[in-house]
Amino acid sequence: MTVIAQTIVTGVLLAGLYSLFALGMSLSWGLLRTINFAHFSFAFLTAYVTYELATTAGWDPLLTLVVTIPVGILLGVLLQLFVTAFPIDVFQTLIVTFAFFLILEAVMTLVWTADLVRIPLAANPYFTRAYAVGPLTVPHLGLLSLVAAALACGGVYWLLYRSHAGMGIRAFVQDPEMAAAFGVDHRRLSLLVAAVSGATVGATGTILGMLFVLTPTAAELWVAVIFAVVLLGGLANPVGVAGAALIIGLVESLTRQFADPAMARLAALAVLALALIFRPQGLFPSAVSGERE
Amino acid sequence: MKATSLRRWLALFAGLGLVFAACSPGESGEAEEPIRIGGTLSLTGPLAPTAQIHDIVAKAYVKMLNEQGGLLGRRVEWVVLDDKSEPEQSAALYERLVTQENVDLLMGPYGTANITAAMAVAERYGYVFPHHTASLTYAYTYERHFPTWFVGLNTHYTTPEKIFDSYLTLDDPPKTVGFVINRFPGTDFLAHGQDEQRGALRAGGGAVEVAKQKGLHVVLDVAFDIGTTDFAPIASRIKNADPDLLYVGGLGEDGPNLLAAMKQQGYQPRNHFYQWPSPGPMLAAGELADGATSVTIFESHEPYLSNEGAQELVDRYSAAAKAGGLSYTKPETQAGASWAAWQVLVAGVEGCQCLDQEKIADYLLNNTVKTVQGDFDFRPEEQNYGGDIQTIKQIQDGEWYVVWPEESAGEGRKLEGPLR
Repeated sequence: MTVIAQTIVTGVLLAGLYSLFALGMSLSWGLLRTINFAHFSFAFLTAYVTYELATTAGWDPLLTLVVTIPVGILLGVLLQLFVTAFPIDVFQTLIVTFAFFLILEAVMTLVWTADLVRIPLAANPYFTRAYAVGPLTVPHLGLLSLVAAALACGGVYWLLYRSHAGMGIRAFVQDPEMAAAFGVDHRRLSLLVAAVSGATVGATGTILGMLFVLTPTAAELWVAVIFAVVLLGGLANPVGVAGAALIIGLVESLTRQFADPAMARLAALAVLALALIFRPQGLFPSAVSGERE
Repeated sequence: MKATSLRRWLALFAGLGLVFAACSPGESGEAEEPIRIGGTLSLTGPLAPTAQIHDIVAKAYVKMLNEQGGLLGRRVEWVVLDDKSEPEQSAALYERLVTQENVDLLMGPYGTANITAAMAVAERYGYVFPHHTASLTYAYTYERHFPTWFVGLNTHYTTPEKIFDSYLTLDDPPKTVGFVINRFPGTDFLAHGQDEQRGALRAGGGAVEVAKQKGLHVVLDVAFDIGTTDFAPIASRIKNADPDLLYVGGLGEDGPNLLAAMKQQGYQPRNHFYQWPSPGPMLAAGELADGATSVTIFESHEPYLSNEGAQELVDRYSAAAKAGGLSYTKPETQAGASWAAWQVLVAGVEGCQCLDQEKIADYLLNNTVKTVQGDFDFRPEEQNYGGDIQTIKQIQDGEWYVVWPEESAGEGRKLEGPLR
C-alpha cells in the first residue's frame, strides 16, 4: 500500500514540473498563436543561468529565480515583438522558433560547451533534501515544482478569468476586430501574456538547473512529453495543463514502478495518442472557445 | 634615364621571381602537401558532451604530430565534419571524406552507432579504420578495423567477470545483486549478452548471467529508457530489493540522477557499480557517489603513466580541456581510447612508411602497437580484438582511482566496500 501511495506522490510531483514547463508553451500557442519551440531552449538557457550563478558567483540556486524569471520574461517579450513584426501564421511560428531553438542551442554550446555539467552537491543542498510524511518521501525539489506549478496555474487562471486584463485577452483571441473596437489594446496584452509565459519558463529553468545534469541538447529530451501535456491540456487552459500533466506524470510513475520502466514514456505517449483519437481537441477544453489552429 | 630605370626594375622583379620560383614547391613540392586525415565527430546533438573529448584529443594529437615534424615528413591536416550525432549523417560524411575531400587516412567517429555506419563506408573503399568507442564488439567483422576500446571480443563475459571478481575479493563480498539497465544497445549487450553466436563471438553471457554463474542471487533486473529523467520509482524498486551490489548499466548522467533519487528515498547502496558514467558529474555528486565503481582503460596515474605517450596525453589533454572549458579535465577512458586510436594510425603509417591502406593494415595486424593503454595485438581470429584490458576504478576521497586488479591499482588503493 505504501508503495502505491509513494508512486502516486512521485507522479503528482512529476506533474508539477511538467505543468510548470508546459504552461508557458500552452499560453503562447493558445493566446498568441505562437507555437514556441524555442520554449525548450529558453528553459535550458535559464537553467544554465542558475548553474552559472550557483557555481561561479556562489549564489543559492533558489535565489537565482530573481534573475531567471526576468531573463525568461525578457526572452518571451523579445520573441513576441519579433513574431508580431512579421506577417507569419501560426505554423510558420513553429518553423521560426525552431530556428531560434537551434541558434540558442549553438549559443549555449559556445558559452558552456557541450560538456555535461551540474551544480555541485555542496552548492545545491536542495538536490537531495526530502521530507518524510509518515512512510512517504517527498523530495524538496519535487515539492517546489508542485508549489511553483500551483502558483503559476492559479495565477494564470486568475489573470484570464478574474482580471480585467484577462477579459481583454480572451476578447481579442475570440474576435480581435471587435475587441479592438471596444478599446482592447491587443499589442500590450500580447506582451503581458508573453511575459507571463516567459516568467514560467524562467522558473522552470531554475528547477531544471537544480535537478539535472545540463548539456545544451538536453532540451530535446523534453519535447515529446511537454507537447503531450500541452495538447492534452487544451490550449491556454491552466487547469487543463495541470490535469494533463497529472495524467502523464501518474502514467509514467506507475509504469516505472509496476511495469517495465523503459516503457514509461511510451505509455504516456500512448495516452496522448488515444486521447487524440477520441478527443482531437484534447482532454480539456481550450481556455478560449472557438479558437483553434 | 627613364629606360635605364625601367630595366633595373624589370631586372629586380625577374630576380625576385627566380628566387621565389626556387623556393616554391613546384614539382618536388608534391611531397610537401599535408597528409589529410578525415573523420566525423558529433560536435552537436546528444552525443556532443562526450564527442568533444575526442575533438580535443584529435586536435591536440595532430598539433603534437606537426610539432614533432609531421608524418612521413609531411604536415598533418585533421579534416573533421559534424555528424550531428546521427549515424546516417556519419555514413554520408565519410563517403564525402573519401570521394570529395580525398583524405589520405580515416579516423573513426564517436559512438557505437556512428562507428558502425562509418565502418561500412571505410570497408567499401578499403580504408584502414581505427576507432575508439564502439561497444558492440560482435558487429565488427571488417578486417581493417582497429578498435582501441580494447575490451576483448567477448566483453559480455569478460567485463562482468572482472566486475564480480573484484567485488568477490572483499572481506564481506556481496551475495545479492540488483541490475538497473539503460536500454542503450551497448549497456544492454553487456548486461544481457547475446542470444546467438555471431562470428567469433560466444553466445550467452551478460552481467545477469555471469552474476548467477558466480553464485550471486539476482534480486532485481529492470531496464529504463534512454533519456529518462525521473528515477524516483526505480530508486524505490532498488530500495525494496536492497541488493548487496547495485549494478547500474547506465551512461552519462544516469548515475548522478539515480544517486539523487536514492538519496531522496533515504537509501544508500552498499556497493554500487556504473557502466559508463560521465566522470565529472559523478564527482560533482559529492558524497553520494563515494565508493562508486566503474570500468576504465586509462587513468592518469601509475602504472598507466608509464605507457607509451601517456604523460604527453595527460599534459596536452588536460591543458586543452581546461582551455576548452570542460568541467573534468583529466584524461580517462574516452581520452585514452581516442589517443590510442591516433597512435595506432600513426604506428601503421610509420611502420610501412606509406599511405597504402593494405600495407598499413598488414603492419598493424602483424606488429604489436604501443599505446597509452598498453601494448595492442590485433588478432584477426577475434575480429581484431585482443585481450580485455579493462580495470576497475572507484571514487575514493573525491577522486577516481583504479583499485583492481592490484597490479594496475593506484598507489595504496584497493577496492573498498561495503559502504554500510
